[in-house]
Amino acid sequence: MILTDRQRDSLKELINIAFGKAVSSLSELTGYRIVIDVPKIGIYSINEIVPNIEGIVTEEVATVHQIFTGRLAGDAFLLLDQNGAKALTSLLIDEQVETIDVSTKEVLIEVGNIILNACLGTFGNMLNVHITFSVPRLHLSALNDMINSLIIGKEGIRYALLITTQFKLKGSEIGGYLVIVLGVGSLDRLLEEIEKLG
Amino acid sequence: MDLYEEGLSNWVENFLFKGVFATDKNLKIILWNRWLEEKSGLFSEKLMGKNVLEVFPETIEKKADRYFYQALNGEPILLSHRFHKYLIKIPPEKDFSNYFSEMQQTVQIAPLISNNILLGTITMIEDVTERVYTEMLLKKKAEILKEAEEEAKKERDLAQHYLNIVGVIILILDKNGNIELINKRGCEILGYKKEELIGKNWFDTFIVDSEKEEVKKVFKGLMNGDLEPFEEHENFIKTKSRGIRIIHWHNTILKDSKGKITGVLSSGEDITEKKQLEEILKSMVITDELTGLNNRRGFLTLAGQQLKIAQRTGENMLLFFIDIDNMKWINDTLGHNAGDIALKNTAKILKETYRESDIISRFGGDEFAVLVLDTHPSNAQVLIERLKENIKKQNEKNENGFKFSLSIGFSIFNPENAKSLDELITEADAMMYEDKKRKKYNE
Repeated sequence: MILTDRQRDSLKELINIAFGKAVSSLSELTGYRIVIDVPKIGIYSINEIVPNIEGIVTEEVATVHQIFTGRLAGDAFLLLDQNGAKALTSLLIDEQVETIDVSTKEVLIEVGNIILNACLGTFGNMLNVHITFSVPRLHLSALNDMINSLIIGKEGIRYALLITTQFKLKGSEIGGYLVIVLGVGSLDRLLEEIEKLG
Repeated sequence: MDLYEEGLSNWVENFLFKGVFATDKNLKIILWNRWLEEKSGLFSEKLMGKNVLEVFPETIEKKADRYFYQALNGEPILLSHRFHKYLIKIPPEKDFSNYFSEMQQTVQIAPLISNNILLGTITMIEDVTERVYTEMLLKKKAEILKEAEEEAKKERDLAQHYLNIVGVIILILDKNGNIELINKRGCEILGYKKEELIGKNWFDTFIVDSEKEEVKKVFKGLMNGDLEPFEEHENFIKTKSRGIRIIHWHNTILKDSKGKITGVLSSGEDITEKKQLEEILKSMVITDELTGLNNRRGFLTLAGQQLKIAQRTGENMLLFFIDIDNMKWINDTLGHNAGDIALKNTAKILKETYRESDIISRFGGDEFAVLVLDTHPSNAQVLIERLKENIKKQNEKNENGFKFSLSIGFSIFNPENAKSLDELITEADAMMYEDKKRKKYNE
């Protein structure tokens, strides 16, 4: 499955707006200016998803994972390496975080929740499609295991749209990634909606 | 409502161990479960149909109203207690009322959806007070632990520093005599790097071959607890770069918490140079420590000088050679203390017999030599008689518990026919020997 240049451009614009919204809510939370890369978009077979995401983060990660359903269904992730996760939490609660305990996890979930909601909500609003999200979960594990469990759970998916971007809090060491994985059926519908926007 | 739905909502309403309330699209309360009733003291009947933001105006003050609107927009929200502390103000359980003025809550607010139709919002409240309290305790404990660790590290660093700057060898050997710890000075003296030394057997590597087996045996005895530990000892060790060194050790036996011997801690001072200096100093001493007389070296030096003078001035001199009788018997039977007394008495008698200007010496062991200056050879017999008289007086005092006697020989220095000091001594010694033999024969 190949995207036309026009489709790709429209999609990029949409994603730029959505991720931009996500990042501005993070900026609001932390009080830091946030730099964001141009999102990368690609359609991959399921076998390629893990290596592609693995290429981004290699260390142990803290992943906030949110499932969304509706006309568009898929998975959204906020990926932070574990030190980044601790640093971000320290920043937010204004106290040194040494270990990721349950309360720290909740803080990360809330932050991930806000960021991902901003992103996915924008998606829904722009396309005028209703999307329902789960409350996010936090995974502290090797990225590989997490992604694999996700794909096994959706054996129907043969292809997926992978959108990634890197963000960095200026003046801090904290950086992370926003990732959206969309099944092919949803991708079709997404493209339909984009066409409608014209 | 089908039966399952009813069963489910009944369970949520009455039995769920968490707080749940739901609103319609206008945020009017349509469900307030029993858990919430019990914890908050607010009852369902009073709340039904009322707007949640009006019943709890604090939610607006805390800007939490937006979460309900977000939920109505289809966005579920998790509110962590770290940021929000609580959504609905509820007093904490009694156990925690000293630490928190409100129940600490983690809250989920989600859109209430059925058949893809948005009905309103549903909120779940979890009481996390106990968890937060536990985390707080853990954090405090972790801080205390960290402080203690830092303190311990500081002490370790300081101890290491002392070990390094101290001028003696600090050595820990395990039960088998292998090196467990050695400080910088130790490495310097032995001429090895620390890495090369740790685990090496001390005795095989450093003890000189002639002492190795004996020292190993003693160490084994110490480690087995068969031998009483000795605090200090000296031994020879072979170093890599500085040859054989003499080390003076202070030892402490190391034991574990159960009192089992685990090894030995020793501090060792390299006294090689000190010992050499002692030897040099000893060679310069001319007085015998026990009797206060000249020692052999002193006698030979002073008598040698007098011989040269006498040759020039033409004086006659007498050299007496005197030996304590039965000294071996005194030592063996009465002990070394009696031996020492015999030596001291002899010195006293000699001082009484001869003039102060004569050279009186303990020549070695139980032998004494006296050089009588400026005298006539015929005086020899007079002096022998005087000596015998003094011995007799000494024996009459009966202080010693044994009969004290001396064998005496002498030689004459005649400047016209000058003999060397060696010759004079040999001659007097031979005569003394004859005297001794004669006495033995008469016994």
